[in-house]
Amino acid sequence: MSPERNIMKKILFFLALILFAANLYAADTLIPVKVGIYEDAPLVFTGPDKNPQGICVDLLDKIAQKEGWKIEYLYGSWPECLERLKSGQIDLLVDIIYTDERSKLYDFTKESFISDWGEAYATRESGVRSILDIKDKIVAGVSNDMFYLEFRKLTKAFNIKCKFIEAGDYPGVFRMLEEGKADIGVVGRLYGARYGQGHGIERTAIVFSPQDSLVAAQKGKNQELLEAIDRDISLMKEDKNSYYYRVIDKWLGNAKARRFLSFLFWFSVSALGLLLLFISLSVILKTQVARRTRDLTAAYAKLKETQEQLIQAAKMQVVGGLASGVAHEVKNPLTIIIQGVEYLERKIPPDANIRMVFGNIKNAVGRADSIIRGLLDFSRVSKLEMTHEDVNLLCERCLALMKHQFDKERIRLVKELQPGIPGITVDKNKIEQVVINLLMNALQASSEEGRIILRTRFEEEEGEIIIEVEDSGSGISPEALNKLFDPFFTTKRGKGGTGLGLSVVKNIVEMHNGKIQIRNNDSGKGAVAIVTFKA
Amino acid sequence: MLKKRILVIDDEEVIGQMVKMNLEDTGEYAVENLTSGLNAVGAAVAFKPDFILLDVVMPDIDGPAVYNNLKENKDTKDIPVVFLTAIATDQDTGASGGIIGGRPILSKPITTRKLIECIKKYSK
Ligand SMILES: Nc1ncnc2c1ncn2[C@@H]1O[C@H](COP(=O)(O)OP(=O)(O)OP(=O)(O)O)[C@@H](O)[C@H]1O
Ligand SMILES: [Mg+2]
Repeated sequence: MSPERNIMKKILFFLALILFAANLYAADTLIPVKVGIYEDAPLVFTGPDKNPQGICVDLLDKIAQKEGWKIEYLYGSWPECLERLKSGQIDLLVDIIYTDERSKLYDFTKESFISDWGEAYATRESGVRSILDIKDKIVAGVSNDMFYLEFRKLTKAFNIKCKFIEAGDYPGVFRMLEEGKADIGVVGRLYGARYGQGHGIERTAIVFSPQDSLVAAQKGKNQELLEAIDRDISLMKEDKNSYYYRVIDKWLGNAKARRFLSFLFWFSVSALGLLLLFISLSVILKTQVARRTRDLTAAYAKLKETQEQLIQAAKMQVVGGLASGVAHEVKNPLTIIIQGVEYLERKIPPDANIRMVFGNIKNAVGRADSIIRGLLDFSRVSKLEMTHEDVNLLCERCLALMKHQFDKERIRLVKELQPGIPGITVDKNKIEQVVINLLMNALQASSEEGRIILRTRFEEEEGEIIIEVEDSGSGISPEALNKLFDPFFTTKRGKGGTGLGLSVVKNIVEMHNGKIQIRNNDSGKGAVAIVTFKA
Repeated sequence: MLKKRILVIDDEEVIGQMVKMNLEDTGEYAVENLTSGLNAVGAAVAFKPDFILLDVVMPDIDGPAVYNNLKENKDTKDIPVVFLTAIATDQDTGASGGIIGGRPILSKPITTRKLIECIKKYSK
């Protein structure tokens, strides 16, 4: 063996030893810290290969390096993250906003990594610049997103009417703007700053609800971690050339970051050319796919509707067949009871208890009777007495009948009756029954200070006359939605509901060759019933 | 004042009984019951009612057929007849008796007050 090789060997041996020792030392002294992360680009999110990234991650890694922490990121949904922090499965949770509610469970850093706030973006055509322009516009937001909720509160506070539609995430919001489904999109400013450029979409002057993105720990635990973060962040923030500002630039793309090397520029141009080619190809494909999907969806919806109609028809038949038989069997005994009570009332000296018992019996009879009555109304195939009617006058009559009740319940009634609707041939009593039933349901779903709109309109193109009853009440749960018209379906059992109201309504509407639809409002509060007749 | 004579035709015997007790209690009515419409004409000729209350759904002969028989006989054709039925509702008939297909109808369950209103309205 040559002496040189010997020396080499020794050096290598020593190097290995040093590395080994260093490793041992490091493993010994690095403090393990488990950090919860979720999806909130560009603050914190996971890349395609599931590796954590974003402003918070970069900054936290830097701090970890300085403080000698070994960070393990634990990815989850937002509720999972909160739960893990509460149960101590993670030590820290990044990108969390302080609320009084949360402060009961968690401790927070004082320094924020960055501040986020809500911003509205708008399509260029919409012409929206400020909060004054948003009246009657369609606003897209992410359901349950804080900024979206705050924005809705804002419009409510200013009494600005606009329509809301909801997307699953921020990219979805921008997509809705691009596709022209919405005029305005509400997102966090950090997301907007990174992804909200171009595509005919502009930032507006509407900003609101500033929020500090903090780090939280379980209450009373890991205080030293929070303190270290506060210390390091505030130090970094003081120095304009610090890593902190480089991270912000990197993620929010400030002017410096946009300086290109010229070769990079030309490279980009040619790459862009290729990309454009791809995009246009994929756009063509996408529109084709979209069209096919639309066709299929429409066909599916149609099929489903037909199926539902068939089921409904079958149910009606059964109930219709039962109704008169049941009515006969039940109403005769009811007659006997009521006549018997009337007789006894006269014959037995009335003391308070006896009077109460008789009252109860009569009530019970009334209740049983109303069930049967509804059943009969429902199955009734009686002839319609058709006359030529003015829909608006008809609605006015119903309102007059209901006015007292609305006043009593302190519900505001708004009339939006479009003038000049052509006359319609209907059984006016039956249609009044329909409107009153819908108003009753709306009223029962509303709480004090609610408002109900009775609207009529004429769709000239389709030749349709439409009556709408819209409320701001409880809305309809998803389970209830497809049972509304089932006979006896009610959520007011024990509170006087028979569950026959809407079955009767549907029956009447269909006898007039009309259609009825009931759904929750787009705005997310209350329900609307839409009755359509051919003019 | 002479008591008004009411003939009640209903297969449910107890209904007739109860109506009789309640109407006669007022002191203004004399009530007779039939549980089948088969002999309605004969009974009406004998009893000479001022008013007939007629059930619609009965097993041996139904109300409308009885009605026709009464209207075809010269001695009974002018007696007012009101149908009493379980298979129509107040909605069709109005509270104190309405008209369906040209015939007055009362819907069950019927209170004495409603019945008296109806009798007053239709009897001679
Ligand atoms: N405007 C509405 N908002 C919320 N829920 C509604 C509305 N309209 C109807 N519903 C729901 O549909 C159910 C069925 O309504 P339907 O009118 O058939 O019966 P009901 O109102 O419960 O009883 P009834 O009409 O005999 O008083 C209701 O119990 C309620 O849960
Ligand atoms: Mg109802």
